[in-house]
Amino acid sequence: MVLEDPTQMNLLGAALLLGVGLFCIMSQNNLIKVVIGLEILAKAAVLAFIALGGASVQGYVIIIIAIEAIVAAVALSIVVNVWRHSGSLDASDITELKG
Amino acid sequence: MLLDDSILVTLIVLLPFISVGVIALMRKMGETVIAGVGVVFSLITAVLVFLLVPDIFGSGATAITESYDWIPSAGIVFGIYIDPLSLLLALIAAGIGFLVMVYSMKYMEGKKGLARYYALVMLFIGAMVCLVLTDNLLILYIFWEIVGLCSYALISFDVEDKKAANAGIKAFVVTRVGDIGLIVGIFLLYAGAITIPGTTVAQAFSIQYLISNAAAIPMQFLALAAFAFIIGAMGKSAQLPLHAWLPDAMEAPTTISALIHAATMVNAGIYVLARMAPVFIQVDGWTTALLYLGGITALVAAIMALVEPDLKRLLAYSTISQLGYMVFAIGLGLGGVFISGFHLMNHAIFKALLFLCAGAIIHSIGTRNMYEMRGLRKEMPKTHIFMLFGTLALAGIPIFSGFWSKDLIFHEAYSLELTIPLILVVLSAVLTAAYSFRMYFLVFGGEGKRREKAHPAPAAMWIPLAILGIGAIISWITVDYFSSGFETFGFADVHAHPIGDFIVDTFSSTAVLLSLLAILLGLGIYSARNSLKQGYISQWIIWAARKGFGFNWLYDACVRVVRWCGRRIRRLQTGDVNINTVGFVLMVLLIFLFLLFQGVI
Amino acid sequence: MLVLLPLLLLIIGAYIAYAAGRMGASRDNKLLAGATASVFTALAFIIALLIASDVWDSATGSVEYTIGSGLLRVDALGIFLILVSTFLTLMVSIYSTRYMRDDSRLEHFFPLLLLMTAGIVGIGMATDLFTIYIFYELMCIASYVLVVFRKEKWDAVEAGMKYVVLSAAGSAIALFAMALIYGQFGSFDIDVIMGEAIGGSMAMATVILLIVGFGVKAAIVPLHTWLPDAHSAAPSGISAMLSGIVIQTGFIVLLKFILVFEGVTAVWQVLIGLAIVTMTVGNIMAFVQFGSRRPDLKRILAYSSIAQMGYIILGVSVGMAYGIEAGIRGGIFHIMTHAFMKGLAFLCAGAFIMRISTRNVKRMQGIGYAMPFTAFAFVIAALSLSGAPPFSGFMSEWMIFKAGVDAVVDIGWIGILIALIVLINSVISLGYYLPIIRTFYLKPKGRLLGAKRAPTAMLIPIVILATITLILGIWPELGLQAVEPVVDFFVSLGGGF
Repeated sequence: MVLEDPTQMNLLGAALLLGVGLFCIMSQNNLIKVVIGLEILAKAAVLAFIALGGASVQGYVIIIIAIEAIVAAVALSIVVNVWRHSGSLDASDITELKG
Repeated sequence: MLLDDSILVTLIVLLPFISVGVIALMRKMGETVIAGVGVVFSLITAVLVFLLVPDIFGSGATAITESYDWIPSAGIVFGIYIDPLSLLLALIAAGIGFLVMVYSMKYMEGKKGLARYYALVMLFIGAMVCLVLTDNLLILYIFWEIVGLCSYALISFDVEDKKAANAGIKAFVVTRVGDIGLIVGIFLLYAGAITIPGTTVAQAFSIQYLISNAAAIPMQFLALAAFAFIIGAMGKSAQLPLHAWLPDAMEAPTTISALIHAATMVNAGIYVLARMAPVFIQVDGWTTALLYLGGITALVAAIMALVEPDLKRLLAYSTISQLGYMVFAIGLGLGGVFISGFHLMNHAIFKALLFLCAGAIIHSIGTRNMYEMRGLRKEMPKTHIFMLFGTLALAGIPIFSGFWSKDLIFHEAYSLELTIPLILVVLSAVLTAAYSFRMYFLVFGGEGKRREKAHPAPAAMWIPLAILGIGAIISWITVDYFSSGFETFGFADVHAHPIGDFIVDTFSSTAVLLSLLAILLGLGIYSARNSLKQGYISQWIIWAARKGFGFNWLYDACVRVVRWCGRRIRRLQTGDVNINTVGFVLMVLLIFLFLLFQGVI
Repeated sequence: MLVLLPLLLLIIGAYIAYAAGRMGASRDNKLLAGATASVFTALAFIIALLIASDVWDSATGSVEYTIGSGLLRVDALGIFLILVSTFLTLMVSIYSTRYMRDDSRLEHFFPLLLLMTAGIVGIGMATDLFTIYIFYELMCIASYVLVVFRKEKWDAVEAGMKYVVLSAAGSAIALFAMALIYGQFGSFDIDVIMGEAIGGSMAMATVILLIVGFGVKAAIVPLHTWLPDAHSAAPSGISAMLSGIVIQTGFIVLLKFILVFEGVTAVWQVLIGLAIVTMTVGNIMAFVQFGSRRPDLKRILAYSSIAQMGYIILGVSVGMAYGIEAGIRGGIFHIMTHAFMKGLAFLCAGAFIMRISTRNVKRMQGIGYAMPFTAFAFVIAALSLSGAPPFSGFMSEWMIFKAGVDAVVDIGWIGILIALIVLINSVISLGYYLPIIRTFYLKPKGRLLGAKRAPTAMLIPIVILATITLILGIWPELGLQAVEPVVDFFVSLGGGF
């Protein structure tokens, strides 16, 4: 299968976005920013869908966005609980369980 | 015939396991009831096994074979194949098992967890009988593991005692290392045999099929499997360097030491080697490896027995040493298979006797240290007589059972002109005689300085002793019976030994001189012990032997290596959210590099 | 219609359990939510059994049901997953009815449990990669919430945070891979995709992203880091579910996606390598746990789950790579035996924790006298997990091991090496299970306040699971009946065969 040019550009963009998302999760100390990283990853996937599927993937994309919203809500609710317990959103503070 | 063979075999296979369930259900009942049920079931098992004797040892007898479909999906069949070799082991397991059960009634009286004890012993007897009767290597391995599990659970029987619990763990882990060898060997044989056209899965695991098709199995599989089996036998039969669990296993109740760690389970390794010898005999160096493994083990263990103050540990080292003889005997070639089995039988009887005597003594005075015993001759007269029989058999004094089989080993090694291995075993025979005398005189000689007097063994304990004691004198007479059985079944290089010829042959060969020399030298070493202890070299040897020649250090080192790795790996589990996600990048890189190397990308 | 019923029952059950939970908010009626959930799961399990006989008897090896334009199909792998998951859920929900009695918000707990199982059941029925993904997310989201269910405890929150970050990132990466699949095939329908031959760098990129994405749930090292935290912090019933079936489902989902590329042997070789690393790391980590100052029983079990995942992945991958039936049989059978024995181990651990309020193994010294049944059941689970006969774990482990040796013909002596590593791992696993057993039966130190026989409602599932662990060890054919069609299914795919 030959990828057409704009498709390739979009796919490249999606792959870059994936890298950005991963980097965000790896480097950010603030838990909110980590969750934002997760969202960037999800958006990278959505972009890849659109890049490769065009109009035919509308349905998929909407479902994915809905699911990602639920995941984000759950993740944020856990962040809220972290805040309630420790009064901090610092990722390096939540290292009690290790080894 | 009272019972049809196939019904008989099915009963033998099932009954012990049914009894485990029955005893487990009766755990709330009284001690006597549980013990009684255990003894009755073991008696029935023993009787059923003995009923097989006429079918196997009669003239013109053929093997009894059965097969039960067990896991049809994987093609696994529970095959039974009974010939003199397997029946011999089954007789020992069921017979000595029954005697030990009777002995336990008194010995274990008042202990906690008796239902567990009897259930496990019955499970052990059943598993051991199945182990030797089965024709399928995979089934053999399963029962091999089950007897290991029983051994672990019974060593740790006194669960509140941390020392016993640790000894159990050590025994289980070390034998499991040996089991790796066995299972690798089994599957290698399978992988080799399955390449023979027309072989089914069930056949590739069948011992008889492997023996009859040994020549067709590719050599690279056969050679590796042969040595893997030796490692398997090393673990269970406590050969160097996997022997160190056996002395520690003496934390078990003495009945268990007698049954599992002297008479039966430790013989499983010997049995497997003897059983598979016709397959492996064509592998270069296999017999030589066995000769040296057995010879060195016999010698080293005898040295350690010579310096051991603990009666049960001394007997354990002695068991290791005697097992070395049996491995050595198989190394003598196919003719040695019979000799090994013969020595195995004699040893099982006299070593079970020695352990049970030791048990009676420990039961009576509550210590295992021989230096605290002394002078028990008058206080425990019956135990003294039977232990004397056992000691004489162990030392290889003529007409006692140990003499005949040991002499047969010397004779065979002598006629094959295996000089260095022969020196090894004769030297260990010297030391065996020396430590036997040392043990006897330490326990029974001199005058006791104990406060409370020892009480003689009760009837439930000395009757089994008497039966085994008589066995230690006369068990060699069955040589006629067994050797002709082996010959009938077409074991290569085994000839019938009619009893008269056997006696004449034994005393007219040069080897008998070696046996007698060994006893005299042993006596000499024992009487010159005080002056010998002064020598520089002997002091060094004594120091090393007391340290167990560093094998325990070796085991600890292995554990330390794993733990060291673990501590390093543990640091990688930082528990940090950010660092956790680095795993993604790491994994992508790993897979990418792998695919790159494979040339897929 | 029958085919759809287990899924429907679980979803409807979730709503009814919620309603029942709300009604029973007062203390006397706290059983209501759990009882409702148990009844619905039991129904789902029974109907799954009915479907199972249809599936195994049918000539095509699957049963189909059309709903609108969509198609649901239960094949051998699907019914295997449904049977194991609904059964384990049934055990866990009976257990949790009593175990969670003192918790609040039970009206959330049981519906979430049922939804998680509904996700697994849905994965078993889907014929479309995107449907699989939706059900997979359903399972994941429910499990996030369940791990953090006791949000008043810090370790649950911390573990949940790590879990959700890693798992959601993994899902997103898998989703990216799905986009690539769509780009290559233009469809998500498995029937359409499977026939297409595919290769090249695009396919390889997809494979890498799929393994990395779903590898999080399957706890493949180095993406296992969430597992020990989440498994030890979650309520014990949930730990049993996570260890017993959820991570295995993660692997099965990975399998379903990767089967698209199954012709490429290198894919399976990658998984073999990862599996070996996974089992070794898992076992060694569990081993050092016991040496630490406060060894956490559930954490040891969690690490052991990582190791067991290694066995499963190894078995299936060796089987697929070199066409060795024993490998697939062992791997799939191990999913079943592991679900029961690890579920059992976690349920026992939960009973101990409930009675003496600590996860520290050293403080459980002598618990075997205070809680004889539970401790004995744990001994069965531990021995089975360390691969001792006559328990079920032994049966599945030797099959996996046999696969390694069978592979000698194809990969030379590396096969023996693989087999040796598996065996050495099983020796290491003895090194941490036996000391736990020892600790349970040493003389009590007098700190076992409150340790008494576990409540009956908790003992029932424990006894049932222990019995199954024993029976599958003595008579494995019983379990292999469900496994054998799965093996046939994989064989029919071709690949290495």
